[in-house]
Amino acid sequence: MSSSKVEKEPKGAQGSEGTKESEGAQRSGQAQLAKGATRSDWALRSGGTARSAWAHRHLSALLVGLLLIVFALALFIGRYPKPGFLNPAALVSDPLARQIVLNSRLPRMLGAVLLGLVLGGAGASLQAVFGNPLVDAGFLGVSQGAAFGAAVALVLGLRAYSLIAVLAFGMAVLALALSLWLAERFRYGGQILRLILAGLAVSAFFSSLLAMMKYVADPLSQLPDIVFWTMGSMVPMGWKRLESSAPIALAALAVLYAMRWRVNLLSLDDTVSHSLGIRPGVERKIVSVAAAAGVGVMTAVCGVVGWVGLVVPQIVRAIDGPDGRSVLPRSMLGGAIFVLVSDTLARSLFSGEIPLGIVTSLFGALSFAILLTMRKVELAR
Amino acid sequence: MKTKLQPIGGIADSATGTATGTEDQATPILQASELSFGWSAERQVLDSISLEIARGQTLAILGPNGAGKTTLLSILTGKLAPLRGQVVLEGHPLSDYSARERAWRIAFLPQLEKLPFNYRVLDFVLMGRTPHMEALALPGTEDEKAARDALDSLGMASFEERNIGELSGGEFQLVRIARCLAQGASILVLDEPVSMLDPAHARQIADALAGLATVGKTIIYTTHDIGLGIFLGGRALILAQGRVQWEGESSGLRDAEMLARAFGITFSMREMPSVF
Repeated sequence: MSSSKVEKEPKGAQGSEGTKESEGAQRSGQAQLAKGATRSDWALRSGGTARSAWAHRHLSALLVGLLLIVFALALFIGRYPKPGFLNPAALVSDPLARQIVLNSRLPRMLGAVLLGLVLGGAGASLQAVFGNPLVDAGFLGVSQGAAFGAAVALVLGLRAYSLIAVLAFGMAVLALALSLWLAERFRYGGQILRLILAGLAVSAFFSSLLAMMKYVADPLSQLPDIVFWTMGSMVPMGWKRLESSAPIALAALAVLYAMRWRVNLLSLDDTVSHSLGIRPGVERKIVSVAAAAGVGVMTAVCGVVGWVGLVVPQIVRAIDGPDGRSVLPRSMLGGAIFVLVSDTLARSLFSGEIPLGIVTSLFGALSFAILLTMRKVELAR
Repeated sequence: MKTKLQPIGGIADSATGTATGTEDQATPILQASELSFGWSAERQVLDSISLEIARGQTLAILGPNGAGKTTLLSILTGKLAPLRGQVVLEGHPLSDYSARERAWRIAFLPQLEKLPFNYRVLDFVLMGRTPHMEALALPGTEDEKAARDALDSLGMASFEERNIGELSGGEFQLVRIARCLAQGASILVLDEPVSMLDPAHARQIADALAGLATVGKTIIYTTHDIGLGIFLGGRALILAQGRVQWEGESSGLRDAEMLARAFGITFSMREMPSVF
């Protein structure tokens, strides 16, 4: 039973059978090379070129560096005192500038980073454990549930933002629970299909309730608030809200990060992961709940910010393969950069604030379309 | 924690796993008694199946489509619980083993598996190391060595940096078997390991399985290829309508009359081109 024995035997068996197989093996090897060459565009890592190997090893460091640079720049970009770049010296000389940067921009930008980390990480891990590269961070009804909760608060005239956030988070949790409950009761398909279908049904249910809220809302005072909220914005993010949402978001991030290798196993067929001694049903739920809690708590404050969780993991996988050990942390960092840049544009591009969700959807949909035309969305086999 | 594990057999853990002594040699490594299974009362899939597999034995399970072969494998590997009857692994009921303890001993390769992502071959094989790793641990150098050894033992060492999406069906099947080997289990259960492969690759897989049998792996597989059953030797079993129709040495599969009774169709013994 030693390894050397195992090494020898099959080779010996092949060798004794003459040249037929070795010819076959050669032929398939050549076919393989030809195939590899034509597919090198969508399988960057397979080529093992110096560039992609280098990028693979240092991508995390590059992303952290990029995030820090973007963060440092964005801190001084805005509309005070005039649109454009704020002279860092003003932090010392101008108390109002200091006030704006430290108490408004800084928490808002930290919030954007946290939102991006959560959306990227949730998207990457959910896509892995559902074996579906087209799953978004807010599926399982979380986004639509939160949007409905916020709309209810606004229609009831609860203007206090903390009440809106509490109701939104409560509805997100309810939507998640409903999806999980429904998936258990579906009598159709395996666990993955049932959860995706349940998420679809619950999302549709809550978006119709949201539409109902929009219909009954006062078109002059309440409707604009609901519409603005559902388009997502970092405006409400201040130190206080950051402090209240960060613990849950960070806990969710920690769980997802800890499972960065485990999600690979969950992406395999359930029969295989069962044979490897894990319980895919239970572990898939742990990932789903962690992801939904993180997305829910951030959505409760910032509204629905779409496409980040869908597109960022796709881009990361296209660059350096689908292994969760690299995809998860890099999707988090990529998501943070994506949201931070989008939010900086949203608040400084025009004299008025553009809803963040519009910017992320615009860039997200564009890069998604480009990605697909470049055949970088991998649906192997 | 790792030192407490006592996996049996296997490539990487052969040094630690030799504790199971020779006294086990006599008792069957895997035993099924009176297994019955059905999705509903009208449709019985398996009806009182009993079988015994000795350590290091090869067992072919043949039978027409819908005979219950895959269901039987699911029960033998603990994926499905039988309605009646019991599976006994190394003298203890299979249901008494934790999922991880079971995974140290039995590796299962389904006929098909969905592959949503284009994993690197080495990472894919590394996933086989799961039962030897703590739940949230990352694979270490020891695991990588085991995965490389597994690939190497099947002549696939040069593929470790490839991606699974670029492999041919036969190469991919070898990589999947390598994942089972990295798992280090002494029992390999394979569902239709050579179906849908071209003759050269079918033969390559068969040779690999023959090699594994000679190093002491217990191999249980289903197949529609009677030639494969004869080629790999060991014992064979024909399942039809949820019952064992015939059981014996695999050389007994040359009996056309027996095959005709079991499959309900006439078999001829003409000479035909075959890779086995």
